[in-house]
Amino acid sequence: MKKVSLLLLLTIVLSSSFAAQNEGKGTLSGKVYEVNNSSKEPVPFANVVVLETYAGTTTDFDGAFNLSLKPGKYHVVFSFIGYKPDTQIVVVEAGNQKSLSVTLEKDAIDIEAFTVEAKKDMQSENMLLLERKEISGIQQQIGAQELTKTGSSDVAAGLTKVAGLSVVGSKHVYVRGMGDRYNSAYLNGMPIASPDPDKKVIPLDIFPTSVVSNIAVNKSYSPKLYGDFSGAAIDIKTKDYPEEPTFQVQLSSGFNTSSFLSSFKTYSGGKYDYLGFDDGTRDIPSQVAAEENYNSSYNKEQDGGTGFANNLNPITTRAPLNSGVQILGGNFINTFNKEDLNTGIGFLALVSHSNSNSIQEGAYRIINLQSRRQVDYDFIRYNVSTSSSALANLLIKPHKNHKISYNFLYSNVSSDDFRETDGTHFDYQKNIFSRRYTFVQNNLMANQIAGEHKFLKNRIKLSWGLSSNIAKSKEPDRRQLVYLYDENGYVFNAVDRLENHRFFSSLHETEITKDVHVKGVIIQNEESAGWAVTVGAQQKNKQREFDFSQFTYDLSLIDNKYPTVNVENPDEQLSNENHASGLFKVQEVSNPASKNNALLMINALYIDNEFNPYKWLNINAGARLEQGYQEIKFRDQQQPIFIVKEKLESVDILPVLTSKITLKEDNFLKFSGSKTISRPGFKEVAPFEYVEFFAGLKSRGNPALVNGTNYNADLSYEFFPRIGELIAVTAFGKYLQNPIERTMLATASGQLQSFQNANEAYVAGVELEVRKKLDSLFKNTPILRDLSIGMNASYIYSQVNLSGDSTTVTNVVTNTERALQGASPYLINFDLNYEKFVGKTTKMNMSLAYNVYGARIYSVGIFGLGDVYELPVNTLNAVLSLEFNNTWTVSLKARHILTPTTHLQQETPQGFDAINSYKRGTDVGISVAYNIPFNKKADIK
Amino acid sequence: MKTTQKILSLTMLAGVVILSSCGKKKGCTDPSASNFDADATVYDGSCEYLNSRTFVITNKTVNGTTVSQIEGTINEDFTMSASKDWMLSGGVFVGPGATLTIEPCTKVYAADDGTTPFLSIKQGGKIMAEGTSSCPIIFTPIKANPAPGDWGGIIVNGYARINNGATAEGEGGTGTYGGTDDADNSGVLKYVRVEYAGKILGTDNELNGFSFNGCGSGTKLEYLQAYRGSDDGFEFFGGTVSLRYAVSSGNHDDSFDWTHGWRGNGQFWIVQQNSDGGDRGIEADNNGDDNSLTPYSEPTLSNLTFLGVDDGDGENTGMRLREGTKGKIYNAIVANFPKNGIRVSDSITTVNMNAGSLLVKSSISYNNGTAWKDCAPFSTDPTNSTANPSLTGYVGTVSANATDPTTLGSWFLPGTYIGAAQTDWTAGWTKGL
Repeated sequence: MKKVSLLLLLTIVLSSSFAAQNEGKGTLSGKVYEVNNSSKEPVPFANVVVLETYAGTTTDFDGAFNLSLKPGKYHVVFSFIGYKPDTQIVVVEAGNQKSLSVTLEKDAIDIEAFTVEAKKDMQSENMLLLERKEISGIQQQIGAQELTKTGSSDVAAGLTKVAGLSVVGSKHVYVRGMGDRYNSAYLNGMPIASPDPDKKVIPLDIFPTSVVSNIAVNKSYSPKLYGDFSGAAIDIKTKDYPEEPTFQVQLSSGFNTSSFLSSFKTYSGGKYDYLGFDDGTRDIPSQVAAEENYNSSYNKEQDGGTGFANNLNPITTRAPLNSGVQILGGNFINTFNKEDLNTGIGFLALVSHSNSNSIQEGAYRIINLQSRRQVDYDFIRYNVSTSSSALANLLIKPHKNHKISYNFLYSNVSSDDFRETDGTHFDYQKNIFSRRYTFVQNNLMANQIAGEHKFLKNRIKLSWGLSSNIAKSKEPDRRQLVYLYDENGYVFNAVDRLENHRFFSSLHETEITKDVHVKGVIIQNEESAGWAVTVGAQQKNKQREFDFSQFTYDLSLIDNKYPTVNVENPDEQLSNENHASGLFKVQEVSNPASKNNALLMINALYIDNEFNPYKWLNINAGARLEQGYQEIKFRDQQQPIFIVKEKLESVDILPVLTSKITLKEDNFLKFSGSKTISRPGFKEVAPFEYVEFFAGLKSRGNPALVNGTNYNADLSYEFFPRIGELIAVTAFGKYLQNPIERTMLATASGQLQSFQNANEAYVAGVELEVRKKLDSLFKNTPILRDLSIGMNASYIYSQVNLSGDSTTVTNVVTNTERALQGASPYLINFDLNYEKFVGKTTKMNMSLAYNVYGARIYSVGIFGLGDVYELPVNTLNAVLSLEFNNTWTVSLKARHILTPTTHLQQETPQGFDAINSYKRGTDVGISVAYNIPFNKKADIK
Repeated sequence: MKTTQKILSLTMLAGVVILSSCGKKKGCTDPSASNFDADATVYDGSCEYLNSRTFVITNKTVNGTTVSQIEGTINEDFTMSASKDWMLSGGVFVGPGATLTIEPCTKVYAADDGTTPFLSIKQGGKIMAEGTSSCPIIFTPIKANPAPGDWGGIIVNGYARINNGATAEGEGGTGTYGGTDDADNSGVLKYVRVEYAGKILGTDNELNGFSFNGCGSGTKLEYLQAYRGSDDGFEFFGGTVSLRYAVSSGNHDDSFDWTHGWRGNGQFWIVQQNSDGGDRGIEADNNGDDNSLTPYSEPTLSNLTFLGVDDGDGENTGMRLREGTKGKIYNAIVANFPKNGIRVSDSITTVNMNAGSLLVKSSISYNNGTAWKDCAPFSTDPTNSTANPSLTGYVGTVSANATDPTTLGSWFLPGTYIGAAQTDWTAGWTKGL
């Protein structure tokens, strides 16, 4: 209730603060042009900065700007990338309007050298499209602006809006059908650690959109990227310092329709769960931890308590409202040299927290070839998730040619799950009911420092970067109890002793990366021909430590005392008194192999040549020399006397060629070709069995694995009709040699997955992107005029050939030729935006965003059963926001309006059988943001 | 140009300096490695460890018993003499080409050190464990108060055919098995008692008392007891090995279990459940993933006495024949199971039963919850009955309607009676409940 009243209060304050004070000021307005073939063309998004006050604005689509200033004499600088900046002296008088017409000259030689005058707003779609024009590789970017408009709450959700990308399990990105193995994640251009023990790429839902400036998806390789690449390198750029004093507070609230006003189940957890941090309640109790090692596993048979708290009872409550808060502040201060406005210190700090809850219902089934349901459960999950982050950015620029920046990011996400399943299992006559309480906390702390130094009139640029990441994940005290029931009531399932348990796991990964490179312009001609060389060296050192332990409840005797169990109060039976009298015991299922240490070291040298032989042709030719060493080490589970160490060493030379041909102005043809590699995961080369942590699937590595080799080619045509508009077609093809694929081995019981180098795989496809404003089509229709549309569609073909089994144990996979796992044959995004000024100072923005993916392989079938497909899901999000006077912003959001059900189905000789399904509700939310108006920011228009 | 070059080379030099961690000694920083370097502070990947194909013997005293502890993989011929006590720590494997001989009267303990001790004979390895009725070979935990599930039991991996692949991986990483040699010989197990086995290694990783994985018909199994294990007593994963004179006592899951195409014979089998836990006398599968995979599980069994007990859940069943199994069962007594005597389930198993490739003849289902469940061809067979077999413990047989087992194949010994024990052949070498 407190949160609701706070929102109300904010709304009242908001409605009384609209009127802006403009008395006693004069106005400076005008237009910025460029001369293009002797005709004057407006320059949109040019920067207009008043040196005396640091006030500024950018020009609109028509090149127009409007500033309100106190009377006085000012130096006004007009600048834009690709143009030489121009400074004008202006005298403003009270109540008067001063009009200016400014013409900027194009700057043909080296764009970068002259453009740092004003900061580019890399959150803006238009700016990102302008950037895309300049680069020669295949890159797509999505800015904070678009993330907000499409209602994307985190980076993973935002990436589904990019052509050719899909996200599986709401966190793992697939690029052109290629999963984790083929992608990599960077933060501000530097590699980033992952808190997921089974995945290389950090789960991307750990980054809330609030910390993001933009996300660049590099689909073509360049030598400065680590060689483990084929799908894309995803570079998340965090927000950096603003140019002017900024302070913003945002509060939000909402609910998911699945849990709104309904009863909600939870359990006894920690005090700070709502913040996303376990307070230590779930730690392994010290008396248990003291005995916890492979030489003396914990075995508490009698004498008093079990060592663990009695906290297995469910608790029924009501779902709280979702809520969120975000505070951001920053500035740029001209300190070192008052003459040079570009020198100084910039900083930004941001903290944010949000939590949300939902109820998910679904079904989980396992069938055999005769279509008999071996396992048939219905489930319901009550989930509370949180996301917290702290971001800091500091820029120190003592001289126009030297700058050092520092970035800090801490992000913590938690998921607290209360799950009930109810159904039948082929091995039991009675029905089975289970409860599992799972709290997972993942976090990342990144420290990055980077510098840039220019010499010899910008002909030499030296850049360096250092980063240190710590990624952690823990799943403390997962608790599960399983019951059997019939018309006579419930009893504990005492037969499967692993079922009633507490599970603990933790992962700690550190990654230190270093990069230094220098770019020198060797030939610089006035006209077009030029040659620049970049030479660099990189090093990455990643260390990962993972451990888990499991304690089971042996309940074989307790059923004899209690003919039935009260499932709402199992703590009564599992009491310390009953333990003391020997009715049940708690034992560790010790696994000496649970703890493992992994190491990855990469050293690389790279060179990149940029040739500009003609005005219409850019060629980048380069190569990377990469030396890799990886190892994993753990105790043999079966024979703990031995320590298993498996290593893989490699040296690769990775050539790359990209080119950009300017067909005519704003029409480009881009080509890229490269050779890259795929490294196996740490555990994939370990020759013994292990349990995959999140999936719970048994796995056995294959020490015979070698790096896969990938050959990538992209051809793209891009046309930028106007600012903010784009039509692009990209065709791509990949040939994967020795791709590492999952196999399923025949076993005595259960499933065992392994890995092998398959013969080869092919991936090919086409991506189409269109971004268009409708004003030119509907000049006279008021509503349609203010609409813009965006769409992208991708077609992906993939095939992998699994024959040529290299393992000694039979692979029981049904289809040895199939599409890549997780590859959708098609992906479609469509969004519709309406943007309009309502009155002078109120901007309204409405958008609808739709996404759908084609049926994709969820898991591969074995023993004649077909593959499991995840069927298409339609997602529709809507956002309405009103921005008043650049000060207040109110947004209404609805995510997953279509409340889609995800269905999984498997092919059998009898046809298709529905196996798993789950349904999610719609997220509805409101947010209010307040920007302190430092009396400097002028209104656009 | 010159200046450019100078700065370029200076930069590369700077790069090299930044990239190399200067002043720290590189080497192996892990104290458990054989080449641990105490001075090294930076790990460079050079650590080396013990080779897992070797074995180590350590003499020690545990709970007042002096034992020779054996760890690792026996990769050469080796004899466990009866002159001392032995102890398994962790999984002890017998590698290909090696033979492990165990003398009569030898006691082999399983360590209580947090490891999961088991004895696994790899494909191509052999075990020669021949006790006598007065001098059996005993495998038991070293723990003062042993309990079901204390260790992993004995696993024998062979090259005979299975139906879940050409080769497969055993439970708990106990070895690869399966092949094309149905006559494969993994040695002899005779007068061997395994106590308190069935340890859990992880999900779907529960070890049994005796696991015969793709074992060929050249292997000899006689006079074996699985005593109070927490999982199955005897489990056959495909293969052709035969077993006679077997006692499965107080095992918490199934007393006998077969799957994945077992085609051996069985004669003189005794099941005695107890009230702490238990499931089925026989759980018989062909293959759960696909009930029709070949070769089918199709054993021939004769002279069985299965005595059930209610362990509290009312679920225990004498024989559950399911997941497409075939097989011929003669001269069986199934008594005192609270749920079902004999039950057949799944469509392909029923098809096999109706076609006569799954049959139960000359057998008695007495005092069970339901005598015959979903198996009309058995209940209506005139050689089957529900009459009281009037046993003394598990000793006692019925001669009416009995089949002469020697007509079932040359492997079978005479015994034209219903039941496993006309006389008590378990005396001296087995342990009572």
